[in-house]
Amino acid sequence: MRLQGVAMSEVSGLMANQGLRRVQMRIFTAVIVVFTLCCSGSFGMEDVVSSSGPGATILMILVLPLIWSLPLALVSSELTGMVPEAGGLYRWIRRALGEYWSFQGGWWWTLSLYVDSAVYVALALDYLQNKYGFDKPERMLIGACIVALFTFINIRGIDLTGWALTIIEVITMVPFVIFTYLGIKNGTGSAIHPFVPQGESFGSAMQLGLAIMLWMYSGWESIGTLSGEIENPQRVIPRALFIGLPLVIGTYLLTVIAAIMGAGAGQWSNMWTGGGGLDFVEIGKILGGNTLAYLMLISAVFSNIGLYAGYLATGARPSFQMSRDRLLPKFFGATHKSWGTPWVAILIMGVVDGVLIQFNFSTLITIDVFLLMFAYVLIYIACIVLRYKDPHAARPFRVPLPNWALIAFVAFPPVAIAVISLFINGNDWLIGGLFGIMTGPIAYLIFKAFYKGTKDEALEGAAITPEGEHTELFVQMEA
Amino acid sequence: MSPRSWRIAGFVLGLLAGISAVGMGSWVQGVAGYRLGRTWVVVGFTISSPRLLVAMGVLMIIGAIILIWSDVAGGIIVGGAVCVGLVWCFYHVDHRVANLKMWAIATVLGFLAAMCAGISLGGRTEAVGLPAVPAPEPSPEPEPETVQV
Repeated sequence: MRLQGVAMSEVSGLMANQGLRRVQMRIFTAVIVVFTLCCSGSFGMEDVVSSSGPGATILMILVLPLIWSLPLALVSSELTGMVPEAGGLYRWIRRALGEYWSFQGGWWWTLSLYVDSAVYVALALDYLQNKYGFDKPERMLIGACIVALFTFINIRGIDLTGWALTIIEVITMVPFVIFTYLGIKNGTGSAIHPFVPQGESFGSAMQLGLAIMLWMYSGWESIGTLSGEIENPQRVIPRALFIGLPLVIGTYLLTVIAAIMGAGAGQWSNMWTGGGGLDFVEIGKILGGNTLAYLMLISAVFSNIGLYAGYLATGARPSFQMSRDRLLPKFFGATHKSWGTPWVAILIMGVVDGVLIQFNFSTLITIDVFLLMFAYVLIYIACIVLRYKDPHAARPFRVPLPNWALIAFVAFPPVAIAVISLFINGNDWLIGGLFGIMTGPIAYLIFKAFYKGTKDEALEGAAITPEGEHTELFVQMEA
Repeated sequence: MSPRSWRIAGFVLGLLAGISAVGMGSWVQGVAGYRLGRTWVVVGFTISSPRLLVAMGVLMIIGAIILIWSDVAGGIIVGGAVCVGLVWCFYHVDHRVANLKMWAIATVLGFLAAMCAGISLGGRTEAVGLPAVPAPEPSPEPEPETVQV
């Protein structure tokens, strides 16, 4: 018996998403999730302006998404439609490149997010501590409360997470709207002049700015990890990505223009974060007095909390799926009986974050760039390989390009940028990143030896074993 | 490629990684001396950058040989030696790049050796599949070729 006319993505989804509760996520909520993961305000852009110059910053805001974000958003949309399974990129890579590379991709991406998500809580605490000057025990307590609250919300389900993110983004963006209005209306600075800082070449001016901008424009693959818990992800996720992309570009563009203008003529070179410089809060003070400064501070805190909540949601899913595929300890793969969420994977991530924020983990952050960029490169390769390996598979969304053009469009520019980014963040990031990468092959050897992994047939939704016997999936399908 | 071929590839790459580390260590000892940052003192032993390179190189060679029989143990030893080297490079803040240049070849080859070990392990391990249920008796009616879900 042969399986014809069956959307294999749907069939395999039966297995991959077992135990997870699917929720009806509106496009609006999905856009909020995408916006949170990829933007959540423009905090951090101040450093780009002072290091690259106003003109170059605006140019990067407009051009970088076309060669960096758009390819990732398109590829994520195609792969989400084709493989709408919990774990997202981990399962995409598995379908294309097999177990070994999918483990590497999932491991690198998850490790990166474990560290990354803790950074956002630490940043939110820094803002609060600078304002209110509380001591370490209070900082620990507030940090633990934030982590505990959003861990619970995430365990409760992505519908509640969606609501929480919506409220957070409203609190984050309302001050930005006032800020942008006042900055453009009353600002005296030039938004595009000078193009680069005086005495610097275009290349040298771009270095630090590009490194930051790549982070600001990353995260388009993240929502794909939630595919197993969203009704009709093939429709919802690509739409959310396509609405989210111009929204993110517009947000960056308008808020940065307002900030440069609002800082005052020639003051762009004093824009930086971390104290002493003109950041969004300080510029808010210039534009709208203490009230706007206070609102911008609240916005900064909630922006980071939103990023934490979003990455806690997406970061836990690949480890859940890897456990389901017998590549991580079994408890990672447990789902909550009532709420249908991968609660153990989320809880573990929350606990790790709760511990990390109590310490200075700046050394750990250096592993981030390599881990994420290598995972991105694997996603691009997976998309191209699947075009050749599985050309007739159902793709509800297909990047409207022939294979050769897809390679040219989604492979060369993003991969080149990813490779460049590995070397422009400094030697600590280079070496820390290499260490992070090396943990992947070692972890695979350990976990594969322990847990054995799962046959590809079990993932692909095969109905018949090579010996001609019907699998449980066949029985499920027949029922 | 069969798992055995991957293991052999891992052995060759691990061996080359070890040889390059030993070679670099010996070369650095003669040329650069101790200008690669402070030494570590571990239970009475003074570990300098060249000495660590040689020591980890020897460990990689041992790991590569073990890899022929056990991809898990061999791969972990070779990969672990690379990790120790990277921690060393990171730790020596003022000489990071100089140290990394010494470790570069061993790092790349060690990564590839560990990768080959992993792929070999993946190929030879009997993965867990879906439990099969007995096939039903064949019906006299011709079975449809298409299953609608």
